[in-house]
Amino acid sequence: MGNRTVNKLSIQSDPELQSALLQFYEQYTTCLDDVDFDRWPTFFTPDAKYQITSRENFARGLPIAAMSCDGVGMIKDRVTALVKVLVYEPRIWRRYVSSVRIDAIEGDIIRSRGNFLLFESMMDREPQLNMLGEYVDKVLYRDGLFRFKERSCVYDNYRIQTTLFAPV
Amino acid sequence: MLETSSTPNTYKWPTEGVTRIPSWIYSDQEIFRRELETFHYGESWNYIGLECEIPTAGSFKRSWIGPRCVLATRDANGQVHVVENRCAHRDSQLTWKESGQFDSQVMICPYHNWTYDLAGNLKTMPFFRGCAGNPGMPADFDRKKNSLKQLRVATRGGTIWATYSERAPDFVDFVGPEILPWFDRLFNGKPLKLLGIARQIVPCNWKFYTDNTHDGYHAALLHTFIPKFGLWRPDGDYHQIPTENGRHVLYRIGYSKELQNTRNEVTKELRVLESDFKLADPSVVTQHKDEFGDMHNSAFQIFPSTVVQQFFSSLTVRHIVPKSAISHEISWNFFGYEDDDAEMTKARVRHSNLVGPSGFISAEDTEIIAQIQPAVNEYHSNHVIEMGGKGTEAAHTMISESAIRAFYDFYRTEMRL
Amino acid sequence: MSTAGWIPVAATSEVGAGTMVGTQGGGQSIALFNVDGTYYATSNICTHQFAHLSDGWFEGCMVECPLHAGQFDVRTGKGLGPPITSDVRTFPVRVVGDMIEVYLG
Repeated sequence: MGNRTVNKLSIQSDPELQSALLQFYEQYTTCLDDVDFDRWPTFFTPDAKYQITSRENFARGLPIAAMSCDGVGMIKDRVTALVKVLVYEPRIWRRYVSSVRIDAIEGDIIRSRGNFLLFESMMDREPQLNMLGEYVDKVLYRDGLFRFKERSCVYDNYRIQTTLFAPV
Repeated sequence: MLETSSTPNTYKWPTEGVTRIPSWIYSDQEIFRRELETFHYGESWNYIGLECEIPTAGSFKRSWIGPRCVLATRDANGQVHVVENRCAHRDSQLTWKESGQFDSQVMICPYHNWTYDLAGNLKTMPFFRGCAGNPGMPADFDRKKNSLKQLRVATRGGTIWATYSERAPDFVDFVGPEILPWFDRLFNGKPLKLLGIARQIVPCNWKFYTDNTHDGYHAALLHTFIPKFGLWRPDGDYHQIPTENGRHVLYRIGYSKELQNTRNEVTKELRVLESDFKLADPSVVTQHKDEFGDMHNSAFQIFPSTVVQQFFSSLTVRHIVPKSAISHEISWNFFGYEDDDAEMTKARVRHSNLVGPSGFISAEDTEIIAQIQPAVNEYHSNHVIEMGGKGTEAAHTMISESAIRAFYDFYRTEMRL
Repeated sequence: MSTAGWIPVAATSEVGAGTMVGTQGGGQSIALFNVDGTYYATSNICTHQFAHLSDGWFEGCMVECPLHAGQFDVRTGKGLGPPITSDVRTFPVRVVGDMIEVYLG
């Protein structure tokens, strides 16, 4: 995350900052695509909030989410569950992120958003778009590193398809 | 599973009775239609929503009874109505929204502006009386006969239910005396607060889901989170009780902190009970507050439409919505109380990670049943349901399929199979 | 009220007892009503969804909008229940000779 040093955290339209942030977003999705789940919690601050929730709940300000982590401990427990406990059909998940944009910068917090697609390729049938939506984030930039302080994966889907196992 | 030579067209239940379930009930289109007519559109009360979702005059919420779309509305007198979201004119939907507010206390169909009051009575349509000397509707047009389909409504403790049937018993009698106290325990008159709704679409017959909710047997075997993190064990205080001749089922589970961490003769049989897995944040499996004062987790199914569940601080109504013979939707309607403090709301959200479409102890349910559907589409087999014996009585262990047998005893009677 | 504010809008012969007429005056769309020989005037635009009231139904002292059956008392402009949430504007009326005039203010 954030290999490139960004000197100024003040100008929203700074192309260097935009580029570094996009790289951070893509490093995050690549980590998940690579099933490098042990590294996934390292993208977050210790007190991070992470949720995967519907547009319906998010727009209404309702707190329930399909996955709701308060603190990196709960994010790590999602990894434990996914890797060691939960039973599910094998598949390949692949994520695409685009339209990463900075909405505001408040001190060392970047408020940013991006679009995501989550595709699912099952072992005995065709790939499908499983989920799509918007990342709504607060990214901490400190000591040359980006980390998510808050990440909401707000899916546009009316309904989750069967079950949601994958982090987004 | 045994192959059988009987074909779906004969609709003959296996001679062994309820220790067998013929797989054609999970794929046959005619059986699906007959189930809707018998249960959802028959003498059953169907879950619609929570009263707190329609707080003001003119507010509405969309809901479903099987594949039928309905609207719950609240009129200016505070009364709740449930009507089909289907214009009496050309079957158009009156609204495409999940929830909202009707202006001016009328519902106006977007197609020809047929105008209904909030109870669903047709008031008029444009140029009802004609225009510029041209005739409108004929004199024998009866607005009463061309109103929205209006259902019979019951509310209790902040929940809304509807039935198509004038003959259905009162809601309290439908629920029955065994489940009613557990219902009133959660819906106790304190104003409710919606915390959020999570929805899933599952590509299989809806009865696989209702079977799953009658199936304590699978819980600690499929949901390995449960024994691995000490949420259950075979020697725990566990009861699964079919009620109303098998129509509904009640679960009550005594929660004991001491037992959670004990290993003994019983648990050593269960290979999945490990102490190697540790949670970084065990608050998700720790009770926040025994708010009901009875150290219990509880769930009950009010067939055909809901499972109401309290697991630690997570309170939810699961709304089961058949869409076709091979698909159904589940919505998890999470709620709390208006007087919950911030810590309680946080606990409810934290514990909701255990349940729902990504729940630690529920996620695999829909995953496993979805992948059964292709097999029942292809094969006609009889599922053997004999764990715990052959009877239909209440069980005081998770290791029993008695509740499934009790349900199909009820199902066969109602469906005349 | 100054004479300049009064606009002739219709002949009395055009608005018989128990009838209503839609007309224009001073750039406004106006509905005229004859209630047992007394004339009343309101805006001709329904406050609900803006249809012409004069295309609707008039009985007694009540006009009903042709679109969604919103009703008003023509004497006061008051809305008489859902879907009407706002009253309709009324105008003072006088008869000068054989012309009906309304005061637009």
